[in-house]
Parts: sequence; structure tokens; C-alpha cells
Amino acid sequence: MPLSVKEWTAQVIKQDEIDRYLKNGRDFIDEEEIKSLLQNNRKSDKTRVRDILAKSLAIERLGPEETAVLLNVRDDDLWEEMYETGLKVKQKVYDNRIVFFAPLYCSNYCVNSCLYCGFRAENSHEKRRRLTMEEVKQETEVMVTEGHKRMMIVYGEHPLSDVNYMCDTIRAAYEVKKPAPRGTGFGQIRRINVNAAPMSIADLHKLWEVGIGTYQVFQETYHKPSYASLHPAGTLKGNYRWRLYALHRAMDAGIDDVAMGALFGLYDWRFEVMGLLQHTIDLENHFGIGPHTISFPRMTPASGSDFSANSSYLVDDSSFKKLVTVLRLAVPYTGLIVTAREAPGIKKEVIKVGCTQTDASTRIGIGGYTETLKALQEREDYPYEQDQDIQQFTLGETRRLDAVMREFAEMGMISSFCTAGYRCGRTGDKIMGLLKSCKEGKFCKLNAVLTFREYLDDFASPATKKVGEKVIAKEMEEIRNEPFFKKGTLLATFEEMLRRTEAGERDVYI
Amino acid sequence: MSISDRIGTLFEENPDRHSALRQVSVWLEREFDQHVWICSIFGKRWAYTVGSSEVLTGRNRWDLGSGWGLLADELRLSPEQWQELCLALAESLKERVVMQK
Repeated sequence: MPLSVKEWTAQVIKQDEIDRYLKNGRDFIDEEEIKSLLQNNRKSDKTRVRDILAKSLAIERLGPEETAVLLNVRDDDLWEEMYETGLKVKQKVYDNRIVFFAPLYCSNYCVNSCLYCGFRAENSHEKRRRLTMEEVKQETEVMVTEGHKRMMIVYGEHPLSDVNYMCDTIRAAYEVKKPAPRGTGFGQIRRINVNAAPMSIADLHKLWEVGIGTYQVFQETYHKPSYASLHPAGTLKGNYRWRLYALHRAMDAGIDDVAMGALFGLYDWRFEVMGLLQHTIDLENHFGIGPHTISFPRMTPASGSDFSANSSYLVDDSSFKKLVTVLRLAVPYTGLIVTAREAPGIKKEVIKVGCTQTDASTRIGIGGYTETLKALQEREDYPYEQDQDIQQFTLGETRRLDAVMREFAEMGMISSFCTAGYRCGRTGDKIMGLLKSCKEGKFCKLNAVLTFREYLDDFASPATKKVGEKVIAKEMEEIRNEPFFKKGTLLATFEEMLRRTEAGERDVYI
Repeated sequence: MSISDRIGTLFEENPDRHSALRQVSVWLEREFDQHVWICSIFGKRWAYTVGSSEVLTGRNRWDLGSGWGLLADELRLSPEQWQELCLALAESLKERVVMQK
């Protein structure tokens, strides 16, 4: 007999799966220490800042004090140097590519009551819906017809979307295979990352076995008093530490690619950056590896939430660019995700200071792809209007993948749908080692060319294909001249793979 | 000793599957300078389990069945030797799965 919502909620949190990670009963967020680091590093000279930038450029993670120094920089010229260094760090580790993904929201039922979120249980405006397996497949079909290969699957926290439902939806999405609109290829999701509420090690192991990529949990805010006021006590999400150690449990369940984030706008942005760094350090201390990616969504208006529009900590564009830059410099080898919450202008700005992943053609309403993108595919100028009452928040970027990719290609960047790493054992400590030694970017460059080639032949508009061909030509010239690729048979193997892709073979990767 | 005999022996000497696979990887490196990664397969994910400390791109991949996969870059074995190796590994891993049930 299925558990009631109350019974289900009561059995989720396993206290021993929090306690095992504590040190003398304490977690790794020491607010007084963070505040004093921010307070005591307000006046640093340029030499000190430049020494720290040199450390970032050597692809070494910064310590909390060094990060606090950067967060306190007031000199505009020095910030310009920091922006430039952020981009250099990104190019050194990840080259000039940007990885695309699309989120799939499966269910907006939720047992929690977060004050800033449209999904919260008390929000009577929210139209509740859970996708059936058939609907998951339909949504996935639309996403893969756009050209997407990487999915971030998202669920509210509720027994209707428990781990068994998650596994079923992941299997259903992986099953979809659809002929591409052009060329000989096909659309298919090759990597599914999961954004879901904290769960037990046993449940996380089920996600691991179904073949997920990254497991993502955002702490929302690391500031405990703010966390307590925004997430009512007695709710699952009200347990700060259960959430704080969600990624630790994922690591113990075998999921060695984990992703963290904070929702900027709930508390002071400098504090949140320090919290993310402390989280990274604690993962490194426990498991030898930090997060695969860090996200920094900014709070945007949500259905029935005054707080989401009126918080006194909302982050303006200038501060947003700064916080992304400091994260890039503080954790040089970790991917940074800027999402479609952000409008095209600021998104472009932060990509220039070090972001590595973004989404496009994004629809966050439950069933949103089927309803909206199908209409878009029939009529290019279909007027997309967001319906807040089926969404968790509001989007700033609603353009289609093709348009966003074309813009990046015009900036000289290559869009990638690479999923090779996790299909070749390059996860966890393997990929971290490669990122720190700046080698992973080399493999990613090759896979970016292969997947971009597929996109141009199978999905791109003529305008995108035209500018995309120039990007491929430039990438090939760089690859052929790079000594790393000339070792052994790597270059020859890659050129042969590219020929096979050009001839119509799909999903070739290295 | 043939490749298949050696694999059989290593699995007999190492009742623990991970130890056996680790020994296979060490032996391939020592005997043939052949670096491999042996991965557990979960859906589309190939998770490194044991193998060379060198970085491999996985440009050559063999699905061994029973949830296991083998990766290699530069191929030091002949095609016949690869076939023998993969068949022997697949057989040993299959047997081991059966034995552990």
C-alpha cells in the first residue's frame, strides 16, 4: 500500500546520513568565520590581488581568504583585470567552447513551502501536473528535434515524483530516438543530469544505476538564519544539513559528478560565494574531488511569491558579473552554468568571464516543450508567452537553440553537445585530474567539433550553418597545429572520426 | 600461456572481481605495454572501475556484456589477441556473475 504524503515525508531524512559527515558535531559553514574573512580582507593592494590571479591562472583552487580578497575589490580597473583573467582561465581549462543542455521539468507537485518558489505546497495558483511516461517521451522528442543531446531533468519533492518515478522518467527519456529534421542523423538524449531534492544514499544509488550524468542540488542559501526563515521548520527542505550533505551522499552512492549552486538574491552574494567555496573544499576534503559544475541562478519573479520580486538581496547585473568572475577564479577547474533565467545581454557578458554551460529553447512549464515548441517549429515567429502558473520562476532567455548557437558562433565560440566523458570513464577524479592539468579541454575540443558537425548537418538553419562552417574550419586549423594532438595516433583517429561523421555516421566520440 | 588461459588463471587466483580485473590490467601493461580501463556500465555511463593510471580517451571500446566495458587508446595487441582477450574477459565476468548469485 502506498505511503501517504505525511508518511512518505516522515521517512525521507536519515539522520545518520548527516551525522557521519560532521566534524565534532559541526558542519562546514561557519558563518562567523566567513563574515570575519570578508570583513578582514577589505583592503588589499593590487600586488596581493594580482598574486591571487596568478594562482588562478595556474589552475589552483583559491583558499577562503584569497577569495574574500577578490570579493572585496573596489577598484574598477582591477575588476577589468579580473574579468580578463577569468576568460583566460576558462580558455586554458575549457578552451572557447560552450556546452548546451535543456531542462525537462517532469512534475511540480511539492511538499515544501519555500517562500520564493512557485512550486511551494501552499501556492494555490500553481496548476499541478506530473508527466506520464508517454508525455516524458513526447517532451523529449521535441527537445531532440531541436538538436539537444544533454538533458537536465527536474522534479519537485513529492511522493508522486519519488526516486522510482525519477528512474522511470530517465529510462523513458533515454529511449527516445527520432530522425533529425535534416541530414541523415537522429535526435537522441545522450546524457541526463538530475536536479532533484536531497535523498538517501540508497535512493541515490538507484539514480546511479539508471545511468545519470551529474546529480545537482542547490543549497539555495548557505546563510543559516536566512535559510531557516525561507524554508519553514517541519518541512523536508527546512532541514539545512540534510540538504548541505546531499552531494556527499551522492558521492558515497557512487555518483562522482555532482553539481552545486546557490540561488542568488536570498542573502548577500559575497557570503554565498564563500559558502559555495566552503562546500567545494569540504567535498575535496572528504572525496578528493570538488563539484563538476557550479550554478548561480538569480532569483526572478515566481507565481504567488512577493518575496521573489522584493528581496533586499536581489543581485544587479554588475554584481552578478563580479560573482561569476570570482567563482571562475576561485574554482578554476569546475564548470560554470549560466541558465536561461538570464536575459541574452547579461548571459553573453558572463560567458565572457568564464561560463562553460548554458541552456536554450528552454521551457520550464510542465509539458512546456510539447505545447510551445511544436507551435514554434510550425511557425518561426510564434509568440512565446510564459505562463507563471505552471513554472517555478520566470525566464530571461526564450530564444531557440539555433539562434543562440548562431550568436555564439558569430562570437567565435564553438557550441558543444559532448557527452563523451561519462561514456568513457572520464568522471570524478579522472576528469578532475584532466581538468586541473588542462588536458580534458583538449578532448572536449575534439568532441565539440564532432557534435557541432552533427548539429550543423542535422538541425541548423542555413544562416547558422554558414557561420558554423567558419567556426569548424578555425577549430580544425587549431587542432592540426596543436602538438598535443600530434602525439601517437590521436589526430589521425580524430580526422577519421570526423570523416565518418561528415558521411552521416552519428554519435562518434573520443 | 595464451591470453585466455592467463585471464582464467587470474580470475581463479583472485576470487574478488575487482582484484581480478586489476590484475588483468597490470598484466596487460607488463606483458604487452597495453593500457586499458575496465568500466562498469550503467545505462549510457561507463564508470571507470580499474585500469591504467594513464589518461585514456576511450577511442576504442568493447562492451563485454554483464555490465562491463573495456577501453583502450593505442592498440598494442593484434586484432586476434583483442578478440581472445574480450571473449575471455566476457566469459570470466559472466561466470563470476553467475557464481555470485
